[in-house]
Amino acid sequence: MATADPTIQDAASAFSPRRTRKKTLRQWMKTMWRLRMSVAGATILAILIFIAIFAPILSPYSYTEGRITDRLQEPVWQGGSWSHPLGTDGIGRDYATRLMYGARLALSVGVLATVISGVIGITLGMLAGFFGRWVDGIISTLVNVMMTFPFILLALAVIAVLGASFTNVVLVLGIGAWPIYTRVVKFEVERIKSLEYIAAGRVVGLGNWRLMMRHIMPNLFNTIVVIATVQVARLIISEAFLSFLGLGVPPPTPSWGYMLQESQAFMFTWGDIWLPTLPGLLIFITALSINFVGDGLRDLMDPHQRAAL
Amino acid sequence: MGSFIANRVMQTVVAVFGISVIVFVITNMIGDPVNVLLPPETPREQRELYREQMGFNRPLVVQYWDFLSDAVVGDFGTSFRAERPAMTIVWERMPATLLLTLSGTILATVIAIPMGIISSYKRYSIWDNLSTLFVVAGQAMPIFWLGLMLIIVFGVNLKWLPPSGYGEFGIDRLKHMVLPTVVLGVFLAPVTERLVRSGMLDALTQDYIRTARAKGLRERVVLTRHALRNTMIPVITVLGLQFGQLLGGAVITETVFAWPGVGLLAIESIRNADFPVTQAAVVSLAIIIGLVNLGVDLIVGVLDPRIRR
Amino acid sequence: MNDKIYANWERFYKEGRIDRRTLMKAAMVWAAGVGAMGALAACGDDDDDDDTPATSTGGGGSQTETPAAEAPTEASDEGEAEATSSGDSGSGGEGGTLRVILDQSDLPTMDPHMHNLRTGIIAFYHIFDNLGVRNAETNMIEPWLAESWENIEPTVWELKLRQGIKFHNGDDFTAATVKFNWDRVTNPEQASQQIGNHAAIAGVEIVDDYTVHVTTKEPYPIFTERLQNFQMISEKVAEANDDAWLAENPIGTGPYKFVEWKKGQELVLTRNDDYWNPDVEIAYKDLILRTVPGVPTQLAELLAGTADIVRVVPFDQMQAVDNSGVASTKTQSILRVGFTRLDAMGRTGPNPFQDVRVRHAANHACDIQGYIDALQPGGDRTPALVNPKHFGFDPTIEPHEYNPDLARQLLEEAGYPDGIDVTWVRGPSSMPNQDQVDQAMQRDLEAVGIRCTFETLSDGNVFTTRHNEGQAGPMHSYNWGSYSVFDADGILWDMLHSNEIFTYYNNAELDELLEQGRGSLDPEERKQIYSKAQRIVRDEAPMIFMWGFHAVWGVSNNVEWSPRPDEIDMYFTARPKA
Repeated sequence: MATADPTIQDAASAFSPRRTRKKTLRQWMKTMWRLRMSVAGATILAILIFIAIFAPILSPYSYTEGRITDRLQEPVWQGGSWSHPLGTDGIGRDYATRLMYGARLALSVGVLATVISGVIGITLGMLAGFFGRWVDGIISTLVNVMMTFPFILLALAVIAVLGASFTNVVLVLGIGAWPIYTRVVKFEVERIKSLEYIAAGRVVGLGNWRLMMRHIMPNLFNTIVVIATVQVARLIISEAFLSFLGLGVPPPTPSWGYMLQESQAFMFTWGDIWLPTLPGLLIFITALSINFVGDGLRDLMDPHQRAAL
Repeated sequence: MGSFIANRVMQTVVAVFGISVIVFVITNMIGDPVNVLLPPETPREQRELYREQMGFNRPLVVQYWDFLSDAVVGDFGTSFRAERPAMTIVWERMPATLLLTLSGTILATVIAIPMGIISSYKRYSIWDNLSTLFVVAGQAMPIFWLGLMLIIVFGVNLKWLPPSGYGEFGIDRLKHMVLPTVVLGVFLAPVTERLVRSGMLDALTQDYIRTARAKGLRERVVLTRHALRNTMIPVITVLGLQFGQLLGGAVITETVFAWPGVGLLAIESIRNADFPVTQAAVVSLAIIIGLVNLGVDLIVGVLDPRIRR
Repeated sequence: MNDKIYANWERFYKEGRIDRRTLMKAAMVWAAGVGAMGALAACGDDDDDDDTPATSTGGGGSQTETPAAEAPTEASDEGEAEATSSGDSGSGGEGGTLRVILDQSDLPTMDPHMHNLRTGIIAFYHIFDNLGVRNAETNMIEPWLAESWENIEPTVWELKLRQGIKFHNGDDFTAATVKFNWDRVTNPEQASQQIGNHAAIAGVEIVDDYTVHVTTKEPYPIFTERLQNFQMISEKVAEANDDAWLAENPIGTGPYKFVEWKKGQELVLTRNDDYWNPDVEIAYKDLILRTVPGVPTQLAELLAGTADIVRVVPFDQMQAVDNSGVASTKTQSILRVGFTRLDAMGRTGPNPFQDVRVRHAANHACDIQGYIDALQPGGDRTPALVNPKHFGFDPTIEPHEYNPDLARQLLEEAGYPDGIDVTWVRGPSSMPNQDQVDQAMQRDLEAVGIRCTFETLSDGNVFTTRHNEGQAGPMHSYNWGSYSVFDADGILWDMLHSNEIFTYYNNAELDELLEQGRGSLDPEERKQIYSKAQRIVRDEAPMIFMWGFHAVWGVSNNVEWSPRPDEIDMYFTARPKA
């Protein structure tokens, strides 16, 4: 940011919510305690990411191997052996392994779909907010249409046409989720656009692109991050639901949603209840952790909230 | 004010129109209506003849025009599966869906608002954390799993409530409504609570609150009359936006609980390739969502002078 | 009755009025019935195949009046008294209510001619009646609304109708009714989904109030099959109202009367206390057929005691149901055969399965018996596609053994040392536990180098169309009910004869054998012909051979009822357990 006129820079940073204050360690500890739920969430998420990345090393099995004669072995807490600590599924595959690879699928689908929807949504939001008028008109109409359409039916229909695969699922989720970014970004951009330092920037002769990228975008960062974290959680659950309906990533790739659907009927027997419970629990914990992290991030980034920390 | 209303109505109309295009295109991509209408053994020549007779070989745009001109007067054609008009089938099932979504929304609001208020007031206290946990849990839990669990616990094991179905008008229906409403309410409450909480937090740190306190008004008055009222605007807005999500949740709920609503009908019709019903169902849902959003915007427009342009 | 009819066919042939081919078809139908008796006697493996006596009207021997019809007035009085008294003896009041979960989606209509669903057939069997009904033990079609039938000319059948039968609204069932119904279904403007079933019918002529002559376009030996799946509506009602009304107001002659159709939820029926058939004791006063999407919810209803019969119990839940103390499972072996077809003739395009060694490799790679033992409620192996229930099944044909090493070796010999990659198309299926079986197979195939990627089509229509147009290669899951014809021809012809739209294999030698089999009179000769045919099928392996299904129903412990091998549930035979 060196070449711009120092006056503009100072003006910008004076209003920018990104201005940081120096904190002592003690103050950080205090903040961490206040945000203890978010810290817990972040820790769990880190563990999940670790498991997802290192699954091949952590497990001696592949997620398809097994013998049907080994089906439905009990987990250790029900008397099973440590060779299958979380038991085996209906055709003898190690459950722990499938859950680990399921983490991979959930996180990768969630992140990729969020990135796609984020890119689309933010771009459209920027354009709509910055240029206004007819650009805004078209984009806002599109947003209205997308938000009025029940997402599940859209996903059902599209996947019925295109067929179920990893790529299609990510695309469908990504395309279904962008409107919320656009709405929020558009409002933010409109708000910022009216601030004086932008007008000042124009006067000095900064081009549109530069204004958008260098001055407006960084201010959106906080909002976007918060929305994105919540969206990842949402999309993980959406993928689980698509898999549950049989429209997700096809077997034998383990998806928590698919494992849930496969084991639904086992909910009636106490002895088998681990089968549907574990994937459900994992979906829940993952989404929960991401939500907490998002909460914490928002509290950190919003100056009003931060004042209370 | 008049132009504001006209503007919003226009937007709604355009949105519904856009959805009709999408659903028309998608249903035609899913499958060939000829294959649905004729028995599978029909030889090729007969199929082609039938296709010509029914007009399925005309360009899509022409077919869409026919579709649109009929749809505008409420004629979505005859269901491929049953002998009856598609729109009639949809409207028969609409009350069930409306009943469910309405009660779900009420339950969610009743849970979310008090929780949000308490949570914002006693920030970072045990209350806040508990409510966050409970509420975010609702969002993170796959609702089809929750639904099934409730059925098993309350329907099969405890036998307090009927496991599924619509029931007879009266007390019986109320009994059948309990579990699906709880599931929907749990689905919707989290986001609403978040909003109430952050809206209240925002409001509480505003200057006018300080002024009210300085004036010596009692806390309760400060909370309700000043903070809450300003919070209601984003809350109502989001409740409206959530309606689209809510219908998605209703679809799942209807499937799990055998609740004979439009969401379930839409899914069945996609599965059966019964395009007229799919089109009628989706467009009807879109109109309802559109009207709700419109209503919300109008209410907010009345309440918040800043928005009226 | 079949013996007498068959005698007629022989006479027609001798008189030169029909050709040999037609005579063979007739022989096949006759043999099917005979064979079924033999087969059913032989494979008395599974529990609960017996039908309750009420539905079979005294054995299919005689062609003229059956005992029940001889004294109509007396019998109907008796029947009425019996019906009400057995109703009274039921648990829970005057007969009680039987609650059945029929299906996951609702019926589209109440008009029995305007649908093509099995669940529709089942529902309408309760409100309406058919001219004939299949006896579940002998497999013969027996008189029901019709008292008797005779093939008087090669293309003319004379049906004598039972007298004194009234519709629920009081209309009489007469020859005019029968003519009207047949005219309606075969009328192209009616656009009935069942029109194909009656394609052979040319017309119906009324002879007198209780006799009709049905003319077929050509000599039609399987005419009697048409009688058991064709519900009769009242012609007066149909003429007085339009189709839209008929779609909501079913008026039949059946054991139950229509009360209400709560769309999307349930069909409510109540007992017809004036039902004409004294052999049918209708124990339950009310019958409710519900729609519940989602099998777990259906199970929940069964286990909660709010449903009495459920049509599908997933394999892994059988134990839970049996241990619940509330309900039990009923397993029934059925004629339907499942298999995984390989595109041996390259109908969809060139693919590795055109090499017979690769096809054998696929068969040896799969642990079929293992799947049956671990993942199925039972299954009858079909080493050459033919079910042990089919007449002509050759028990000496050895199934492919599970031998992955051999499989790998064969692949190498065929020039695929690194294996092959294929798409496996799947559609909705009625095989119990299909998903787990498919995944287990996929795993076993991959272990020898045949890597399959699933393409799952959730729409039945889409799958059927693709399949019939030859676009479902190189590999797809399929199953076949043989149209309830318990004869090897019933499956081999449609699945493998090169003229059929269903086949993905052609072999002139096999075609000839199948034609001979259709053309022979002599059961012993036919057995030999079909043995040879099965030998070829086994050696050519145009599919991965699997098994004949065993389907599982769930029935409340308060109800006594059994399913049938032809999968047409008759709930009016249910009774409360004492």
